[in-house]
Amino acid sequence: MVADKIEKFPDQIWGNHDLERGKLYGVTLGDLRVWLGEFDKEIRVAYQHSTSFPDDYQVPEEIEWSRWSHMHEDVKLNFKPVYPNRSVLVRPESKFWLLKSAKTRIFIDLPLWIRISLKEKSDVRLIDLPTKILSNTWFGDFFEGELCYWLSTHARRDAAEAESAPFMIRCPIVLVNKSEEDLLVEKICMRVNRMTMFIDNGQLWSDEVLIQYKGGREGSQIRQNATPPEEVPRAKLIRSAENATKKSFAAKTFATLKDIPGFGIIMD
Amino acid sequence: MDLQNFDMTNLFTVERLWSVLRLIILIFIGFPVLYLIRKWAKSYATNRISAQQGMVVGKIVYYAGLFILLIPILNEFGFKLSHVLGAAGIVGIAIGFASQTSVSNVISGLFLIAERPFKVNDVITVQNITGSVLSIDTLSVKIRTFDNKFIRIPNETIIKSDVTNITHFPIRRVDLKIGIAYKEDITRVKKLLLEIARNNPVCLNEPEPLVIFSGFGDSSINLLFVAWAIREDWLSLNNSLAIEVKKRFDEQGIEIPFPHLSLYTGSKTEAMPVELKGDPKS
Repeated sequence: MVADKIEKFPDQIWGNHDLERGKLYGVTLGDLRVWLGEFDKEIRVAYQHSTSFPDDYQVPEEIEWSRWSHMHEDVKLNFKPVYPNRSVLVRPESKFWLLKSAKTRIFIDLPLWIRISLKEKSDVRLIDLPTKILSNTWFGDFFEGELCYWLSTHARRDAAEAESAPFMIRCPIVLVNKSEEDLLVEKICMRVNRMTMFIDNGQLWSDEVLIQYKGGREGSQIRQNATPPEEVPRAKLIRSAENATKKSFAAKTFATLKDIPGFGIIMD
Repeated sequence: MDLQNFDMTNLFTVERLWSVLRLIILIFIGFPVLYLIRKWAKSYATNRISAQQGMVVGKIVYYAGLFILLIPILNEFGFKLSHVLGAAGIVGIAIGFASQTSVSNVISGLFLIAERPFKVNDVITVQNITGSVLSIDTLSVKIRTFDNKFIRIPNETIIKSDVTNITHFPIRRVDLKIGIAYKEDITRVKKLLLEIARNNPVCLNEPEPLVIFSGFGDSSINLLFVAWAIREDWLSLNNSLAIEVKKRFDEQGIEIPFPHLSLYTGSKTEAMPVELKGDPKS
């Protein structure tokens, strides 16, 4: 694509932005760099993931463009932060035990996705892009389960310890062990479609997730309160939960494949 | 029949007109209604259970409805139900003897429906035939192979054979047999293979990829490299892993040996030609 100059998008990315015809824009969000523009009644978007980008926004030669034809005189795009499109299996970098009847509150940072929509009476979704590429993992057993993203991250006890992360969603989790056994917290499955999103001073937050472990192979009871966490009581709501039918639901949260009898026995 | 004394009023009696009306209602309303009920039942069972069960429920509803409709229709034509059933029984026995294979297939079909080893759209292998199941019918299972051939396998054959359902479980394992030269460091190779799996976008982190020692071969140390993907990504993982392993081994100078063969031409054959390249003095 040929454009005289690539204009950097404003730092305040969330919200509506007018696109000037024939002009190419560039924006970097975490590990994601996006180029977009409006040419010949077409909206064109290209993107690349990397941990380091050159300072200039020169478009790489072998990049693939997504194109949408439209009938508008003026094009306005909307940028929204969204949760990943699947549940995320979070693995704390240091696993820990939660003793029976114990309760703890931890914070994890979930990578953000960005939704680009064409602004109309009702927004027309163009594309959802992850700001960080996550690998896949399976949560469940060999017979049934769900495909999740895999995230290895710190599980901090204090939100203030963490640096501001504009392209991460800070998520407070309360873990309660209501079982008669100690719980080894190796992995936590986060059902992001149940989570609400807030913003406070540029930092994105989710509502608090309360997970009550009841032991054995029983599912955990998960509760989302859909209100800003206590650290940022005045945070502004920017996204309601996709699946907000019930605030409380039961689901497997801690199970691992290693729980399955015979796991580890490999036959050639 | 005496046509001269034929009385038309006998033909158009009230009773006969009612009979004709009932027939018209049965045929022109009964069959469309049956068709609609069958469609609804099939769609309901498909949405609630599975496409295969939907097909079965649709057929049960259709044949039951057909039977219910045929009885009053035959009755209107003056057939006695007891006679019809009696005749059907005798004919049934005769047909049964004549078509044992078909009956066996029908019964095998019932077992297939009850046991449910596969369902419509599953990919199965039966007697070296691999393909996607199009339908499970009364007499046979229809399969579409990946090179787009239509194959009909009798139900009896399926019941008697080993059936592999490739898409039954949601995740599948890719097995890559890799041989490395005896001079290579197995630990280093193992580390490299696991790194390849970790960086592959379709490879699952859990179940964990593994490198398993298979044995000391004639020409190589044999390893089994296993990684998991969701069933839809199996082919992609299989190919991308093989490509990446070859590429990384080449980059890292890890040798994949091949069997070495020494040829003896024998005393009765001529000497093997040898071509010398370059300056022999140097």
